[in-house]
Amino acid sequence: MLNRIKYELISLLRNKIVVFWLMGFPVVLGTLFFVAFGSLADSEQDYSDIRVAVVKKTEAPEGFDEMMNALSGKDGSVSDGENPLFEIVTDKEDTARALMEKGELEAIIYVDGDVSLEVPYGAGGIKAGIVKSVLDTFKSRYEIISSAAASHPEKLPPIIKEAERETNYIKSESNSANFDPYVQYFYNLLAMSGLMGSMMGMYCAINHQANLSALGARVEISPLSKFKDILSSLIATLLIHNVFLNIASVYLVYILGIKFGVPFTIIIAVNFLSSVIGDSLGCFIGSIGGLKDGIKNALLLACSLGLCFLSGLMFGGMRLIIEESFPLFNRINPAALIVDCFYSVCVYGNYEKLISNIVILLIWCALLLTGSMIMTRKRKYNSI
Amino acid sequence: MVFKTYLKLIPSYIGIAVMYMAIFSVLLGMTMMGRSGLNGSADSIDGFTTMLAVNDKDNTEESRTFLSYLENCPNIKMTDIDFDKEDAVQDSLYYRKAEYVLTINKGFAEALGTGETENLLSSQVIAGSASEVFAESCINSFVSAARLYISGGYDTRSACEEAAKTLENRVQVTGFSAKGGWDNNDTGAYLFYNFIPYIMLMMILGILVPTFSSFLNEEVKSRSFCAPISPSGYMIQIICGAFIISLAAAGVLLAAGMIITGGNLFNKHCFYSLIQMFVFLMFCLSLSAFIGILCSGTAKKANYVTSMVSNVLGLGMSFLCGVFVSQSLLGENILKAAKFLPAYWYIRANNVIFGADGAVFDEETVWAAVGIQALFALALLAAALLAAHIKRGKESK
Amino acid sequence: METVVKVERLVKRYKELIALDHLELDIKEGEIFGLLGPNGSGKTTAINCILSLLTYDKGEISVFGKKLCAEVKKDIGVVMQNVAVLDELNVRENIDYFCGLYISDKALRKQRVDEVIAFAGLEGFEKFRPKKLSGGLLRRLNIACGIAHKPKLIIMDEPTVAVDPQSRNKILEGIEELNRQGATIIYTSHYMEEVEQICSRIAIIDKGRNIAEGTKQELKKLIKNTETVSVEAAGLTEEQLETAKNMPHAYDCKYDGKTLTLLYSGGKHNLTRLLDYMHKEEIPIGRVYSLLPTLNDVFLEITGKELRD
Repeated sequence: MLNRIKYELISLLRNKIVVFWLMGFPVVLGTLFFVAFGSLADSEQDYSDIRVAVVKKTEAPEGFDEMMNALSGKDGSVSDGENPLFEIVTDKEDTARALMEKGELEAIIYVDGDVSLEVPYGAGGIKAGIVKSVLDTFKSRYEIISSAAASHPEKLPPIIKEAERETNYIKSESNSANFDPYVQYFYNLLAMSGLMGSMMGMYCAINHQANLSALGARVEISPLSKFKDILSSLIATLLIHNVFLNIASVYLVYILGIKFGVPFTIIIAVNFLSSVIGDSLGCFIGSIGGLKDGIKNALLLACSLGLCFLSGLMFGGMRLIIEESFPLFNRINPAALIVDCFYSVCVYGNYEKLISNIVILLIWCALLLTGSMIMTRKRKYNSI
Repeated sequence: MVFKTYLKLIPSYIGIAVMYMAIFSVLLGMTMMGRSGLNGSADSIDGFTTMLAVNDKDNTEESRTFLSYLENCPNIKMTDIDFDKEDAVQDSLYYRKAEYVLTINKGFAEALGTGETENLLSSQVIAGSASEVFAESCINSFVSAARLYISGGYDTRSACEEAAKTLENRVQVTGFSAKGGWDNNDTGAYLFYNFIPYIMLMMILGILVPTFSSFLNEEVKSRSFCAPISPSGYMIQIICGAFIISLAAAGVLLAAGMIITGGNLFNKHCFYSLIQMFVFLMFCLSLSAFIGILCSGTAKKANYVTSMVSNVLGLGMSFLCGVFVSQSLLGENILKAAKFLPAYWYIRANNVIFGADGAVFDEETVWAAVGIQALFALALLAAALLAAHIKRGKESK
Repeated sequence: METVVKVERLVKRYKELIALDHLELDIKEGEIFGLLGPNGSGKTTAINCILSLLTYDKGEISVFGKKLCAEVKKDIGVVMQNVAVLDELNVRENIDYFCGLYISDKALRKQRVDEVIAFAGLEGFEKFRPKKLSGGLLRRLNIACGIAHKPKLIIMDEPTVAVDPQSRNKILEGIEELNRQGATIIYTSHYMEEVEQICSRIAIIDKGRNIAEGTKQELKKLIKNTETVSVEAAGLTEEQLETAKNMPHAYDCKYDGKTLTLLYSGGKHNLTRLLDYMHKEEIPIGRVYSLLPTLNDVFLEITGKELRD
């Protein structure tokens, strides 16, 4: 049996396509994801130093200059190391418009009796939104105070006192969970690499079934028991698959520095489960007689790609949509379960869910392994 | 003859095509649902939406006024979360279903009246994000305005109503160099043409690469070359076959798109979109010819190689060039690198055609982008023919 | 002599098609037993049934007096019709791999692998992968993989298909050598020359039935033909043909305007008698042949059709 495993390993490793597929796939795609998402995560966080221009055509309303100074750090209220919210670039209209044309300015604030705003058409984005919301707040407060001053000047002092108070009324209950949504693409990538191993599992079955290949027939007439035969081949496949998955994981976690938010031991454990599921799924489908290889291939591709699509490989929100409309599917979709193993530790910081996910994955492993063993156990065929 | 036989190979790949069709349909349908009802009013700023979820534990007249104020805030979209469900908040935040989750604490109205501002509101949020700053600014302006009215002698309820009313009078926004505008009816068509490069790439590669490599594998090729047909004639017949297949695939995709978008596929600029789609299809065709020829030695395992190559190319290019995430969110350096990929030009032109992602319609930009894609297609076709030539040279030695 | 393989009333159906129709085989120890039959006659099906790769509808099969089980399999070596080797392993590794299915002792296995490499003439190709081997060498590798563990019974299913004559002779010599070393061999082929050359006993199979069985001499005795004489002679008259046809022992006569072919059953000096007659008639003659009956004739006479189509 050891001898068989040895030669299975050699023959798998010499198959350059297998090597490249299993290891290169997550590495290449992981690198591409890394490049594409690297700056994406930053852009969400990057909201300070919003470049604005203030063009005054008339005298600014009372309090406006003070507010702008405070927000741009000109009054020294912003401590070192922190970035002020605004950076006032210019106060000249021409310069401002020229800058905006080049896309180097988020907003132009016009003071012309009233305060108004000009933003790049269609692409104001959230930074312009922040500017606008700050101005909205200013405008409302200015209106309340000035109307009070006009109608009930005696009530002004408490209002002004109130206006000078700290203006944040929200208590943050956010925890330190990792909310980087792009990490889930890497979770999915690992899930996909695990399920893609089904291609290898399929060859495993085909090469050991007398009715599927000459090689299978040749092996089947030897005294070795069928169980040991398939098992040794599966073990070799699993070994290689795991080594490659873990190399790819090391690359993602330690070289690219993706923050999986999960101890590496868990990654190894989940990789193991996903490889068992992938390989035995391939073995199972591969051992169905009477199907053309091309069809089996397409079936496996549909399984691995389809399940990963539903767990968010292409469109991250997919998993949540399913969680809300058909949660049971997320509990049985192996790809979603694999992703959820990482996700639950990373986001909930909760190992209970991890364990329940692992239990379901183990059930899958058991089902698929027994399934493929039963499918391949048959030794006699009605036709070859 | 070669041509006819080539077409006969295709049925074995219908399964793959059907799978990609299904993925495409779900992708398109889901994102269309997610996008519906966005954008619109005159005092809002285009280009972003902050998803806000509110858990109103107070449930008083005041808190409801506050809620309706938030609902009317431009650029804020309310989203529902099942607050009873464990982890629902975390999940929603993670997948950006909600970017800001606000809890109006019990006793909100009372505390607002007394000026006890400690326990008014609490939030769960993706810490340090721009949406946090934006949402908090909107929330705080209401509370702050209401407090001002209360200090001015109003009772809590009318203070809230007044605050909402005052805040309705917002700063006027003008768009710089405004031309045309986003038409909500275009959403379906925009998304269709946006996702189509990914699906075309996967589908065309998935179908054509194995057929190319089985037709060009050494044994079959040398046998065919012994027949009275010139090598270039042979290639041309295969490519013609592939062309017909590609057109058929595109036709099926268009039909599926028509059904999913409810027939909104052909609108004012659809002429450009269709031309773009065709040119990109030609790129996919050349690419599969190129890969098919490179992989022709491994015909037996072509399926294996194909799925690997098409996944890496399809997913990689789509993420890098802004198919799945909009180009404006991608970093500058990535966009610079992405310029060497045709999908970048496709998406760029698509944004220009629909005036999406901050782009403005401009015929010249579209034609330039289409031209670049055509060049990519031609260059790859030339490379494919060259590769075939070199391979043939090696065999004859 | 002990019976090695016994097949009784074996029936195998593929839906309507009857592949084996009450096939009977009895193969004794030390024989090279030939299974001869045209393509599609059921040879491979019979082999697969014996190896218990296929289910069958009726009949009994025993190998070494037992039903096929792991213990029995240890003593069987099989060379399949299709080359079954692993593309990624080289020659030595392939042989070791298949030998390892039977022998777990490492040292013994190494010795066996060395022996079989020498036996099959694969020295110098040990590090080659199957794809780099010529057709003949690949067949020899296929055989080596099947026999490396020195089985008592070797089943070879058309091992010489698509092999050049030189390699074929080498393979046939090898088979005889294996037999001399004590192995019982079952050999299927549709090349009657091969079967005639090496087999000690032959069963002729057609449409799933064995229609004749015995040594080649025994088989040839089954038919009345003992000699076929052909003479090139143009322009024979009706009369002359009639005379030829009525020669003693001749039972059939064919003439195509150029060559006269007479079939004889028994008798001596048949050729001389014919030539004497033609000489007397002053008929100019070209080449002259006298052929002893072949298995093809046996097949032809029993089934009424040529072995090779």
